[in-house]
Amino acid sequence: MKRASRARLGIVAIALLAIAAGAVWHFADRHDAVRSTVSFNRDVRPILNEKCVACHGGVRQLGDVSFIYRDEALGKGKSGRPTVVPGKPRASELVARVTSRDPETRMPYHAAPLEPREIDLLRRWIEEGAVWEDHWAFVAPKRPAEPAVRNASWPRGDLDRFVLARLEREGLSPSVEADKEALLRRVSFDLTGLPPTPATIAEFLADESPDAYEKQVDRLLASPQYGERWASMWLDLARYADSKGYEKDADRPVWPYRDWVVDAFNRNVPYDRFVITQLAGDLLPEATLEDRIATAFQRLTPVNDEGGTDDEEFRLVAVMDRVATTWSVLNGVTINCVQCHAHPYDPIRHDEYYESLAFFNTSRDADREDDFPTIRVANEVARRVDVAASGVRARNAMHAIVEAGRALREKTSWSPLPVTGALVNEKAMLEQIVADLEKASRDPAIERKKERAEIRKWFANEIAMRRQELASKRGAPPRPLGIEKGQVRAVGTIPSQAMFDLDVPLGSAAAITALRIEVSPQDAKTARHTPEEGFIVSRVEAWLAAEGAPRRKIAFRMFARDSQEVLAGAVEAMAAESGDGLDSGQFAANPKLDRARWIVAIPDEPIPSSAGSRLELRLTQTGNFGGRPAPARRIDLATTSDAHWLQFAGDPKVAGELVELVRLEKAGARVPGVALPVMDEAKVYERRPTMVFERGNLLVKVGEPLEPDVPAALPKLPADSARDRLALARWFFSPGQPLTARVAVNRFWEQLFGTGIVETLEDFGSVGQPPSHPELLDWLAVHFQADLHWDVKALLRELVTSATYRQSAKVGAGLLARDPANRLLARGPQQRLTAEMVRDQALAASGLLTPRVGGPPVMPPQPEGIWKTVYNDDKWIDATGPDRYRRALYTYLKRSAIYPSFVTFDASEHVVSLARRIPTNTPLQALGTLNDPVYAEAADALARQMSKSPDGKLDAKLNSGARRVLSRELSAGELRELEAAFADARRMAGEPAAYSAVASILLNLDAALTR
Amino acid sequence: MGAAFLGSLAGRASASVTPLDFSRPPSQPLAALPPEFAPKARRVIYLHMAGAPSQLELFEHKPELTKFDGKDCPASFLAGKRFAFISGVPQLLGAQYPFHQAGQAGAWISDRLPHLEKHIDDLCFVRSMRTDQFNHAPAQLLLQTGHERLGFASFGSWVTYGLGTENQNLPGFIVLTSGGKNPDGGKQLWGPGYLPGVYQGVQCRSLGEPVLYLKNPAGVSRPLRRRMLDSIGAINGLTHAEYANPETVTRTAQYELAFRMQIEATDAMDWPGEPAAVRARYGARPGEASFANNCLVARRLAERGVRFIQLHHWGWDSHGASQNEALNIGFADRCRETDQPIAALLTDLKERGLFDDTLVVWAGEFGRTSMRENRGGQEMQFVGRDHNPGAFTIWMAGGGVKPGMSYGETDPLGYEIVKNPVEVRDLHATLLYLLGLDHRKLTYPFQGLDQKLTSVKPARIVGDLLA
Amino acid sequence: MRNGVSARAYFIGVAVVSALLLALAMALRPSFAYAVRDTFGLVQPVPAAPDSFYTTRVAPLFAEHCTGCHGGKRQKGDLRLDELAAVMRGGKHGPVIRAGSAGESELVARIGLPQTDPKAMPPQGKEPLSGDDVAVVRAWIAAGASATRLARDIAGAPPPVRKIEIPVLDTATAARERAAFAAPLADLQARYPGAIAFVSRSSADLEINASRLGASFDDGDLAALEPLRDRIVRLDVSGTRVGDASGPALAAMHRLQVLRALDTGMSAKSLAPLRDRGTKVHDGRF
Repeated sequence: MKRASRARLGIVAIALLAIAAGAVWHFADRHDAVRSTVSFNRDVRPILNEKCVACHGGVRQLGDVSFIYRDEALGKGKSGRPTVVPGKPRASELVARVTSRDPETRMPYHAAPLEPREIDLLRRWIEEGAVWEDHWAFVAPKRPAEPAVRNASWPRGDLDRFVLARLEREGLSPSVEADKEALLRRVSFDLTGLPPTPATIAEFLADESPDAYEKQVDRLLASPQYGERWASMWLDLARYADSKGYEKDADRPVWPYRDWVVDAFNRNVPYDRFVITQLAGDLLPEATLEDRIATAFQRLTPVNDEGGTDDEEFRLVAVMDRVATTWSVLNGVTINCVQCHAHPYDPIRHDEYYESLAFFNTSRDADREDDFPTIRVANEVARRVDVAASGVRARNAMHAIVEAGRALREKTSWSPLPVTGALVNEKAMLEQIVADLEKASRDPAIERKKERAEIRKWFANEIAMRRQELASKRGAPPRPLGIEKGQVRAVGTIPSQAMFDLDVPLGSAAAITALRIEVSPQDAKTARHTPEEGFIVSRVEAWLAAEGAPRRKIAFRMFARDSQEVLAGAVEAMAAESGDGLDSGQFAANPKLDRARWIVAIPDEPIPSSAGSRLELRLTQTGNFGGRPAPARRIDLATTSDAHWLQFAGDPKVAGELVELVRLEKAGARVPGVALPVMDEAKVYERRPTMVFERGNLLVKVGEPLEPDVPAALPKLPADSARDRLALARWFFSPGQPLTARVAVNRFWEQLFGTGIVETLEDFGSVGQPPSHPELLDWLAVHFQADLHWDVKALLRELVTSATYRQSAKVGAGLLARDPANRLLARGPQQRLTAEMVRDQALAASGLLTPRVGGPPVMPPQPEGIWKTVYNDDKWIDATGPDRYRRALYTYLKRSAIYPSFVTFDASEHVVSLARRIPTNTPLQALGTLNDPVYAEAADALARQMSKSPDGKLDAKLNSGARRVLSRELSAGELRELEAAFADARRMAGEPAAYSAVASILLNLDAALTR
Repeated sequence: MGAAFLGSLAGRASASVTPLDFSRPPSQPLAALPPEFAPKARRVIYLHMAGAPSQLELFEHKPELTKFDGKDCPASFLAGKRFAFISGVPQLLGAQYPFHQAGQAGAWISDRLPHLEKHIDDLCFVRSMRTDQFNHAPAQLLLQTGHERLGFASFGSWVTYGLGTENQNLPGFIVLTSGGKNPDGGKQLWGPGYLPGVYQGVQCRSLGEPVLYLKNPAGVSRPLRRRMLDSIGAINGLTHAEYANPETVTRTAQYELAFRMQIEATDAMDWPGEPAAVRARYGARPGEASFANNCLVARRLAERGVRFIQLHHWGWDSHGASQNEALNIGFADRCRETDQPIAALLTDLKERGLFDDTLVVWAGEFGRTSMRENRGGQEMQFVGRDHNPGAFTIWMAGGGVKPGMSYGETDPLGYEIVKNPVEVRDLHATLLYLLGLDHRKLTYPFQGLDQKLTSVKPARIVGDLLA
Repeated sequence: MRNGVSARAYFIGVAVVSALLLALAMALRPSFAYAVRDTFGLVQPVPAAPDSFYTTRVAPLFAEHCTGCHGGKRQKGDLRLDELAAVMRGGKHGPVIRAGSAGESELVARIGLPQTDPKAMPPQGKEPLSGDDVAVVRAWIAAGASATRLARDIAGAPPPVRKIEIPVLDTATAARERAAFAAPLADLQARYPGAIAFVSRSSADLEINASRLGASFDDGDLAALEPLRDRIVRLDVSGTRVGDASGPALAAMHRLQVLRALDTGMSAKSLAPLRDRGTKVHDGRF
């Protein structure tokens, strides 16, 4: 070949080579792109959350870099260089920092570098445009398309199709249906918390109809036991308990709320109405008694009545607990983290926590020992409505009287009445106490009491001690109180039992028709959000010393008060048996003083105030706040001659109404019932502002008062809606809300299948576990909200009649190794019984169970010495009779000493809202079901049942026991083992003991403790 | 066990330090796990003096305070402080008992603890403990669970979660109470919080049934119980063959463990079986649930490999509101009830070769004020002090702490710390370090956070307390 | 050169004026003055001795609290505190340390101010120096701010705070060492359940507690532990049937630190050699 052609050949070869290389490079690149594009939520966010957010997230933004919000992640850090530049990894500081070799600049700082896989994911994410995705749970679910499946015959409904599609993708196939006995036992426990009775088992086995199972499901859903089982789940979330908790842990009867929950489930109240009533039942138009009882959900926080506690602190603790519980139960959002700083990794800013707090910070409860506000709930259900009606009527009447008084006070022109002399008088106080004690000790009623000797001894001792105090330093003559510009200023140590004697010169021309006594905080601006110590004035008395006339006591016809709670306190005092029925003029800021509080005393007739005459005012103060004195420290007086006050005092709609209120109070007190703590919204003039607490410290508030609002990452509140708890409650169920339906269906799913589709029920945030079947979760959520309109029984019916649920729980070695926790749902659920079910099954199987629904809590046998609470001598008295065998739901729940066998079986401690129980498997459980007197009694009762069963042969007797406990007949192997055990036991301890032994064996089998 | 959860500790929130792996086979939640680094202490005996004993009547010698006895308290002591019961202007109160120096270091001590005094050279005093809670229940919760609110895991639960326990036939975390009442914080002081229930403290009693439901019901002899367990095991075997649920095998194992525990726990709590000389040393007397009996039981449990033993003695709340709360009456009783038993416990631990690796901690939940309490603004019938969260004194012994050490100081009136303050979380970090654990790596994922006993604020290991 | 100034006079004038200006500048800006003296070598920076009080006690304090703003990267107020020479040179307004007189040292004044004071160093929000830290700096300056004097001859300095550093967990080396005896360990752990454990996650040393096996553990069992003898650092045979026959086996455990042998058949005599070689022995006898 000639040189030229060879050269030409060379050129052609080179060209071909170039084309080939270009193609390879091109395809390689495309191939590279064919690999699934990087999903921010699936691939990138977990890396950021685990390796970066601790320093560059909600808590801290070192170098001004944060990865929570898109604009921050794409912004510039303090280094001035953009953290992430979409499409240009080389220009992104993030890539530079994670790949840098200089330990001083490499990120994560002074920690192990990212793995190559992670760096590659970050680089490719940026290359593909750094597409940001909001966290999946914050995006509203859309109804997913129905997945195609090969085995079309298996699914019974849509949800099965999602499960089957996943199984087929994983190369697995569903298990066969469980045998009838196992399925009936499972669904009976799941829906009612009780095993099926032998009769029901027989009926179900005999029923060949295709919908035999559906008929059983409907029967179970309609039974009252259904409400009791699902109430147990809800009461964990509501942190329900029958005592207050902390040191004193006093009894607090709230069982009418528990009965409401049971009844609401049984009446199948739609889930949205069920929750809205508990969040804001008191704000519903025409709120019924039931609606108010439901709001006790918000008042179940532990209350600290320990002497010397700061009531404002524990009021705020309760309000913060309501915020945390509401968001955790309804949306699986851990908003409690945001008290001190922005959420570490979810898009919730620090001030947004306080915008949520503002919804709840306007309630009237104030951590008072009497649990104010409460409503009277009669024990006897029949009388409840009228007792409650009179309660509501009284409350509205009091509000009306207070509003009228406030309006008149506003309109009246007051002239200040400067105080010239003020003394704190302990001597007169002690003399008054001694006089009262002596009068009370002469009460003839004492003679009729059987412990009159102790009462007389107590009186003698008290009188002697007070007399001894009179002789001591405390009996010294009265000490002067500070006065500045006519205002009393009590400083220093004021004893908790003392009288303030104020001396006030008169001299205005017109006669006085009303005397206003005002107590104000020392720093009015701060007190609005950080209130000062409160005060209690128990009696107001006045004398007129006119020129040349004898000193005469002024009779007050009526007192006008500044708020309903103070008027309620006065009415209660007037209704008290021991009182004289007259209005002593008591008024208070209990427990805290956040604004000026006042009372207006209206004399029978106008007080002449000619020159030279003087008014002597005595304020008796005997109350205290858990041991701390409660003096009024800043007192101002003012008078008016406006005649309206006399008309006000005489107005039948006011004076007459007061008499009626006292009568209603006395009548109400006689009806046996409980004072149930409920939610009640403060009036506008009582409402507290809510500001941000600096780093969560409730003693340091910063910035301007906030408007109640929901986090910006979630849909907005409707523009026109009021900003109150009712608006918030309804917002949770608004169509665009992304979480409420998902969290609800996930919880019902967890109760039936043992593990949620999202395993972390308490945390749907970006560090919670991702859903195992995202499309199934979204389909259920949309279905529950849009199709079923929150119908709980309908949802549960669909779940338990699904093919997925009806699968057998038997599992081969291969599947067990592949999916130990059954997250792929290739087999039926198998769970240990809950603490309540363990007890209820033992009682039901042995025939001891008292099926009564509702009513006050009961005290089944418990070892002595468990209840040894400080300053609290409530006793645990083992119940005898039917109350001894009530369902576990009704066992008295004392927070500082939970019923031992419940704790052993992982029940909640009922102090905080518990999203899910983590089941354990321990020797203490074995000791409980073997030796606890409750289970020993149950075993003996079951033994009697078995020994008395009509069929004489032993195997029939054993099977009669097995049907009660295991909901099935014994297998041949089981029968042989039990017969041998019976024979040995009879040899060791006789026949009755043998039956008890076998009964106890049945109750302790693994098969008995699972469903 | 919640295997699905405990096994998969994935998706943890980011932490500057990688937490250790505490997952275990679900059937052995209390299996022993080695600490991260060589421990100084292998078990803890925690003596909680519920009610807050007055440091000014025991260990803090303040002659200046005695000089100003009865004088009005300086305003600076009151400004911006919240008190449980004090109001207005209280008077200063000198020590109610004489002080003298003891031991080689000449440490000052009152005359209320003559027996403990013999061990003073073994003790490591921390005189500058500080807390931010001034009420009993929240303060005790903070000391025992790292949080003043309810719902968190207790110290003993964290230690048994982190290290498991040596003797599988006994609970890993045992609690004994005395003094007539449970401590103010209630059962939550030894509760598991968000940890699985198996890590809770098991309340045992030195009077009556040692562990709840340990004894078989009447009529069930031990051989009969053995025969019943054989049947339970056999039938469970059949169930497992059919269903293959691993929990079934675990449950059978728990029944066998319960059977052994009946023997071991009864033996461990059988302190009356000790020789008379040993019982006399403690002042242990049958028929009462006394602190002395509980101390003797504590040593027996320590010997048998129980990881965390906690004794609560209630009644130290000397406000002066009653005889039992008077510094010169009730307080003296509490000292008498605890002095001899604690000294006997330390002596016993030494003689039985356990002292070096058993960490003994004596602590209340806060201190008491240098001022006399004036509840209700009046002079009270008895003498007492109010709560002072600003400064309190604890001591530790054995388990790698420096003997004869005095760490931290308060002002001449014993009211505020002037040197080396120690926060509650610092104490927790130090005690965990002695057990061979880094407090930042002992975590449990809950609500999206790797929860720690020392919570979220930085805690320091107080190196000067270590031998 | 009639109408001008002579070149020489001009030169002298310029020299005098510039000297004056230089002196004025040095007076106004001490840091400039120091720079001038430094360039002319009039200042002999003394390198800090590695074991000096400055290096061991003072420099770490500056590193922990000050060099963030007064260090290599940034010198607020022209002040560097990350090396002795710069510390002595001081900042914009001159030296911050007057050797020998802590009272007149601006630095001491600043670090002693309460956090609320705007001039306090480190500024509010940063971790302040504790009382002891300030005492260390004062003691050093009072003793002449020396670069070489040792800790022991600096009077009045509070003892150093003992810092605890927890090393990064290294399980790799332990795993390698453990592999050497994995087999014998496995079957011994099976034979004596719950009795044999590693001291920690990063250690291959063993601690053995046979006390709970009681009478079922005898000299034969102790002998069976022979394959692990180099690894055993703690052993408890209290209440077992181990007797004097196990003397040699125990002697072979040459790394044994603690032996607990209460209520066993071992005589004091057979335990004595262990005590002599430093093993701490508890046998309940006094």
